Parts: sequence; C-alpha cells; structure tokens
Amino acid sequence: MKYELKVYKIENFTVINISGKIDSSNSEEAEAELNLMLENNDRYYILDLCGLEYISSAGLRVFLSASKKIKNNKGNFVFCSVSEEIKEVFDITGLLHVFTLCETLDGAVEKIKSMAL
Amino acid sequence: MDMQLNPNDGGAPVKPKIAVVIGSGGIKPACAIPLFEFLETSGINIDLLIGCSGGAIVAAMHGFGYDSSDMAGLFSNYLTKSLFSHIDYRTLLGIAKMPMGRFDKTRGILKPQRLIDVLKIIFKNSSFESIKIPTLVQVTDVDTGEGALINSGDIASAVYASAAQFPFFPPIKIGNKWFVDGAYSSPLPVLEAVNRNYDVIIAVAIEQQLKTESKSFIEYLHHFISRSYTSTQKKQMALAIDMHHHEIVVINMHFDELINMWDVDKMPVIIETGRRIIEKKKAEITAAIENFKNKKR
Repeated sequence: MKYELKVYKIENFTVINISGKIDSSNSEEAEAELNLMLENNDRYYILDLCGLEYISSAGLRVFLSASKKIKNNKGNFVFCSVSEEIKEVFDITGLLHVFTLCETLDGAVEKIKSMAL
Repeated sequence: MDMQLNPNDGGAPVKPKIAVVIGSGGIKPACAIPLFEFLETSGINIDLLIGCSGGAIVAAMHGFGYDSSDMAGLFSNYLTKSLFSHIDYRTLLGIAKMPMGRFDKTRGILKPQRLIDVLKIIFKNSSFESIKIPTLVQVTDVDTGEGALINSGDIASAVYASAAQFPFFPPIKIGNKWFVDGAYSSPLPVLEAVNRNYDVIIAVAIEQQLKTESKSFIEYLHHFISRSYTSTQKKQMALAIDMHHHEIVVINMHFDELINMWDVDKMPVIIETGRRIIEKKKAEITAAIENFKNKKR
C-alpha cells in the first residue's frame, strides 16, 4: 500500500496532509515519518485527511501514537476533510469522540487557533 | 474458569494466530455465518472464538462443530418466539411489591427453562472440553458487574448466561457465582483477544437498529440498554486498537430494519446482510493475514 505525507504551514500552524492508504504493511514507516514531522517546536497541528482513502486498525495506531506525542508536548491537533468512509472507521472504533474533526481546512485553522489561545 | 490460551508458545509463528470475536445483538450475530464460510473456503483456520450474548450462541455453535447450513437451521428451528413468552408473574408481582410476588437476584421477568432446554439440545449436553475450536464466552457477574469468560463446563449454561439479558432473563449460577448477559461488561470482547496476543482479530460488531421512539417501559429500557452497550463497545474498541500489535478487522454489521430476538423468520435477511458485508471485507481480512506473513519473512 502507498501513502504520502506532505507538510506545510498555514498562519504559523503546521498542516500535515496524509493521503493514500495505511495498513499494517506500511504503518511502521508512516508512524516513523509522521513522528519525525512532529519533532519541531510546534505544539499545534492540523492533520488534513482529504486524500486518505483507507485506514486499518494499524493505521489508526499511527494517529494514536501521534496524538500521544503531541499531547505529551502540551499541544493539540485536529483532523480536517475526513471522508465519510474514514469517519465511519473512526466511529465504529470509538475514536470519533476521541479526536477533533473539522469539515474543512479553513475550519480546522479556526479551531486550532482557539485551542492555541 | 478462564484458561489462558497462549498462541505463541513454542516460538514465533509465521502464520498469524487468528481470533474471531462476535458481539451481542440477539439473533443478528447469525450474520457471521458467511464469515465462517469465507474463512473455510479460503483455508483460513480460526484459532480462537470469542462470543458475547447472541454472538456467544453463534461462536459456540461454530466451535462445537456445526457447519454454516446447520447453524442457520438451528436458529430458525429452535430459537422461536415461544422462548420469550413464558412470563414469570410472581417476579412481576415481586417487582411491584404486590402480594404473592417474589423478586431476588435469581429471578427474571421471563422463565428461562425453555431457552436453557433448547441450548442443551443444540449443544447436546456437552461441555467445553469436547469443543473443536477453543471458544470463550463472555458473561457478567451479576453481583459485581465484572466481566468473566467461561471456557469450561456445560456449554449450554455458559451460553445461556452470556445471553441472559437481566432483568428479562434471570441469572444462572455457574460455580459459586451468578452470571448474566456478557454485554453488560463487554458487548464485543475484542480486548480479550488482544490480551491473549492474537495477531489478526476479526471482530463482528452488530449495529443495533432501534425504534426511533420508545412507546413502553420495556422498549425504553431495551433502547437504553442497547445504547449503553454501543457506548461501552466503542470505548473498549479504542483501547483494544491502541494496545494491539497487528490488525483488528472490524466488521460493522448494519441492518436496515429492526430485528427482534424472536424474528427467526428474518434469518434469510440476516444471512444475506452478513454475506453482502463480508464480501466487502474479504480483501481486508486477507491483507491483514498476508501482511503478518510478510513481516515475519
């Protein structure tokens, strides 16, 4: 399976765009790559899932690991542009109410601003 | 009572150890029958079955050695509405504190004997020791509210306990404890498979379709209980995913219509729904197994 992570900034917040598919065949690689992106001085992140097509339980652990890392640094993060399919995965695995989801990237920027206050 | 089943004794296996977990949901867990068909035709062996409530009936049937066609027939022929119509009026009077009434923790609104007798026929009065695939049945201790797993002794008693939704059905005494519906403690006991280090866990979750508006005390109570099961299930699933080391394939069985415990005439709908949803999940199950093998190479 293939995935791609791209990182960029919006209004001083780090946005990580995650696309493709993540399962047990590539989750360790994805986790290492994502953790590397989180090793900077930022505390607030937006994880943009607009291009994420599929995620298995191993892929969800990548997000849980990232969450621990960010929170350990007294930071926070939101997801945005989550497809209905991925939202359903979050729901049945009990993560829908653990994570913060925003409909759009603009909405995510506003949300993360309020968290950073 | 709960024997630890360690799949990894004797060195690291190349083939993943596979557990199938079937959640609560009345007769709807029969939708897992097409999953068994798929695993069998694909040559995928199940190393452990875990079931809760209606899922315990299905898991124990498969563990006992019934094939798919047997299982659907057993549901249709034995789990009829008459099992759920034998009201214990003394209990009802007892709940209302009326004369002649009696209520204590050993009693329920329905008399259980018909259901227990049917389960004894289905499981031929056998014990877990004669079961073909190791099977665990989730129950809840009525005194402590704690979950427990049964994998020894009389199958019918354990399965009854797992499915006995208190206060509708009374608890049953196994050993020195009184047990009821496992869904009160763990509606989809995935954590039990995680704790035992199974590599690929296939979890069949039954999405409870409920009436939009409850019109009676019983409907409201059922609605509330079902919703709290779902809430517990999701919290435990999140923890299971965080703790697990490989893949948990969650199969969410959604039904478009309300199916009650006694709606055995809807068995074709249940099986067909299961077949349709399993079809979409086949690639995910296969990939989870193949990815494990590739990692171990």
